[in-house]
Amino acid sequence: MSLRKQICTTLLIMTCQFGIFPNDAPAQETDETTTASPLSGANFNFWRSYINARDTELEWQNLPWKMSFHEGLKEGTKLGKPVLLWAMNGHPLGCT
Amino acid sequence: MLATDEVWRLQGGNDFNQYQKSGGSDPECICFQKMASQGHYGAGGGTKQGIYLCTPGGKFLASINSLSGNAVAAVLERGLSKWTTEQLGIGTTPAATSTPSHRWEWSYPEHGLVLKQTTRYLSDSPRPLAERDKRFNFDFVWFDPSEVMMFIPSQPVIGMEFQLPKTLFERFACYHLIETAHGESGIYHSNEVTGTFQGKVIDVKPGSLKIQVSGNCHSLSNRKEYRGLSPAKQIKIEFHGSFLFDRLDKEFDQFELIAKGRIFNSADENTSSRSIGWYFKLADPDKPAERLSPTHVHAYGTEWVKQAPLPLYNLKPKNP
Repeated sequence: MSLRKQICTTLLIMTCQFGIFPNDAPAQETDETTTASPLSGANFNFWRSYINARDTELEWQNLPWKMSFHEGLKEGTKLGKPVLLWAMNGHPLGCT
Repeated sequence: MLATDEVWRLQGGNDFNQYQKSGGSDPECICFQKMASQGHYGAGGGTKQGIYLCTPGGKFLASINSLSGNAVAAVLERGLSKWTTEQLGIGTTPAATSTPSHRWEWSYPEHGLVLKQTTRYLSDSPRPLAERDKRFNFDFVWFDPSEVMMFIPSQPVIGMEFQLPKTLFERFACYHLIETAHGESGIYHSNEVTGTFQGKVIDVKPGSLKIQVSGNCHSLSNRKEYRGLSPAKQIKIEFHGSFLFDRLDKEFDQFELIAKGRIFNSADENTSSRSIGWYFKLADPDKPAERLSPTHVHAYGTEWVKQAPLPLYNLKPKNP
């Protein structure tokens, strides 16, 4: 990352903290925002939090997955461990 | 050890017997085919998608394809128990090197736009954040560098409103705003989606542009795919988001889009329906798991996506 980009990123983080994203209008949702509320710039944060996965839901992505069956077999041989192959979409525990 | 891979490539198309008879010989694929033929879908043609446990030498231990986390966990325990008690041994890796003829990941659009998509059903009764559906799905959306520039007006001025090109609208509408919250879905053809995708310039600086985007989409299909997947009959969608574009590096520093839709079981809006939501944000290019290809990238219909030699049955890239 270039120095310019690093500085810009720092500034971006600072501006994010002051709430310019995702829209110019500040987030106005309250505890009264529910799934019955229409999507708008004002309640964007509610919908983001509702739909997006939280870190605790994505802990399985922090595991050191290999991106091919072959790489998994090679690493399994090296470590003397069996291989878990996930060959489908969604979630490795079937939680889609 | 954990590995994820594209099942269609590993099984050599729809029928691995046909793959082997016609000379298919990739050791990695043959190993998978032998192993998977002992699994939940057995030998013969058809998909072998699922979760497998095997020895590093490729001997089958256990497998399943289920939406139940408990069922998957039970199968993993059974496989590990077999590994421990039967002492099947490590064996040798089937091939010293991997020589795939094609990986969709090879078309990853470096310096383009890559979005991570999360899809989740929304409750139909008014509910707060704490009571959301715990099950979700995800995917990735790809745009190459030339498509990235289509998001940007040529002479931006604060307050300026503009229409985003049909190509960008269709990338979302046909291949990503589909019903995948709890599983797979077919795609829409371009003549099955209508709507708008507009932008508004919020801020202009020498080095950056801030754009707000919004729009709607109406997807309507009555197709019944033979062997392939059909999309939902009808979805009505509204979306809203914004992005920050680096004018010097010609890349996005921030991108967020939320879409909220209502899925209907027929073309009639008086039939049963349910709500669904999609959230798109920038993927992290440094995480290998976020460089996976979009599920329906084979149908994008762009030259920069290198097509696989194995035919995908009945999945047409463009209008029939």
